[in-house]
Amino acid sequence: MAHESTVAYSATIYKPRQEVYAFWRNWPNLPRFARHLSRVEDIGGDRTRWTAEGPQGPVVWEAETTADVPGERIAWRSVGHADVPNHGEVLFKDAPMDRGTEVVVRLAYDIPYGIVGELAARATGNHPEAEIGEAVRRFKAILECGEIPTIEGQSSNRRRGDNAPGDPSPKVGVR
Amino acid sequence: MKAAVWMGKKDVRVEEMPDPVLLSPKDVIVQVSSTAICGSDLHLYNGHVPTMKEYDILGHEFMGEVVEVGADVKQLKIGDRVIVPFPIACGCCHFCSFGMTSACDNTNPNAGQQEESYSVPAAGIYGYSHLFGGYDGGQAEYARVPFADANAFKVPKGIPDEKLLFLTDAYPTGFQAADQAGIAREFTVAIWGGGPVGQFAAMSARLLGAKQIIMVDHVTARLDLAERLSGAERLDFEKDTEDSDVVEQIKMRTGGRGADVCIDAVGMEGLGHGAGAIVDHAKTILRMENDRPVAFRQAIMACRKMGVVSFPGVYAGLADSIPLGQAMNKGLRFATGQTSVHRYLPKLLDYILRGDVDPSQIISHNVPLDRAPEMYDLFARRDGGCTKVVLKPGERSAA
Repeated sequence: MAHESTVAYSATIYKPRQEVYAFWRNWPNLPRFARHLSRVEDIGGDRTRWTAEGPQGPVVWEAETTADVPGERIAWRSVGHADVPNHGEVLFKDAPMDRGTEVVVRLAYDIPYGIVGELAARATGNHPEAEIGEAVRRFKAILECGEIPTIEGQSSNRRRGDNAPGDPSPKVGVR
Repeated sequence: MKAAVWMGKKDVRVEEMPDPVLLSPKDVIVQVSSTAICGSDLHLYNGHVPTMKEYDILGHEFMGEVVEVGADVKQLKIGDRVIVPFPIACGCCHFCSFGMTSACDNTNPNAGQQEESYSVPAAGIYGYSHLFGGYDGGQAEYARVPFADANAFKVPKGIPDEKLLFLTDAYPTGFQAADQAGIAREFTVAIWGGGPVGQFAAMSARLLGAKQIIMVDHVTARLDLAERLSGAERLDFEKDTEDSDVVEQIKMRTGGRGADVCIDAVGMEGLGHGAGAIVDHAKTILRMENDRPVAFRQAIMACRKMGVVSFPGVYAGLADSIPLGQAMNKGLRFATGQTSVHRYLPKLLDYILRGDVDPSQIISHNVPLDRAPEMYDLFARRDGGCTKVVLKPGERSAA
């Protein structure tokens, strides 16, 4: 039987509320900060198509946007047959003292095979609490800095050979 | 390129490493002309900071010349002479925008782990463990500087490196320790630890108007230095405390009031006497406690009522037996933090250019980079003559 699991994370982003909302509302932006997603397409109406990289290859599902209040709230829910039925929302509000926008992200999903499935997912390195924090921090970094700070490809990583798979290997050489 | 790398506890080597490259259009590459070993590097060397990996390049105090510039860098060009503050600022978040760069929200790529330890992420630091972002450091021939417009600070040519290098950390850290304590004219300031940060705190306290400065240490050379550079009184905790302890000595020298401001420039590897110090040592070995707050405890006890305890000294985790009841009932205020180096640079550069402060006076060793392993060992043993080591990546030792 399935077992619903929920995670939440909050951050303050030093940008105006409409700008923060608009970046999330542009669905194809999501894979830029949510590492588990490879693609999100706006397929018209209230529908989006999501692609994630699973252990057995790409996993695809569709979602409907269940709420869209500009500058305040976006919510969605998977529809039809989804391997991992899920729903989520993002809330936006002005932070006090001109500190930008407070964002709250909540995700809920049905893990197949219940608790056993959840433990299996964790054992393979898929920690939803860690992933949601990572995604929101990356969302914030893109909005505030225009990029996500990284050390991948620096000297010691190349010496150890621990760059992420698929990471372009920078040129190695003596100046 | 050659770089000083961490290979394990008390194991620093100079290894051939791949050259750094631009990883973002906002990066620059600096050819390092001078770099220093910081007292906080010793915490890594002595194995007190977890999350180090083999081949991590050490060093967060470095300066040099810009040799490569990313396409989105606006303020810098090849050939600029720069110093590089140790905390990495994004320059865009709310904290950076208000000069609190050590609290930067964005530059730690390993922020998740830091949130688990410290509840929120703080700025990345070069060569200072993966908890602080895992960035390669500057004890190397070349170093990558991220968000370069915010992090490479141009300095004039024609002044020796030795006068400018400590703007990266030790000087602003000592200055912030004094500045955040709100030193007023005629204050008495007691400082624990006559290493570089303690010396700069003493010089800064003097500049800010302190009348009496008491330096607490047990290394004669460091007490001499504080006496010479800042007119500090000496308090040798091994020699001067036979009939009383450090706290009693400070009370005796301040009409029983205690010091107006106490600065702990020692941090988590404090040495000391008595049962407390022995218990701390046992606990750190057993991993029940990772900080030995000997200096911090004394600072609380030697501070006058309503005074300020400022602690630039680095603590990493949990500390035991802090006399909080005393702190509360005396009405003490605490001031601490990694230093927001960037905000102090224009003012401190000005002090140096005017000749008010000559940071080069704390240097005891100035040697080629390939002697780094030997220098770490010397500095870690708190060898009397070793106050500050400068490493020169562009020089080679005589064979």
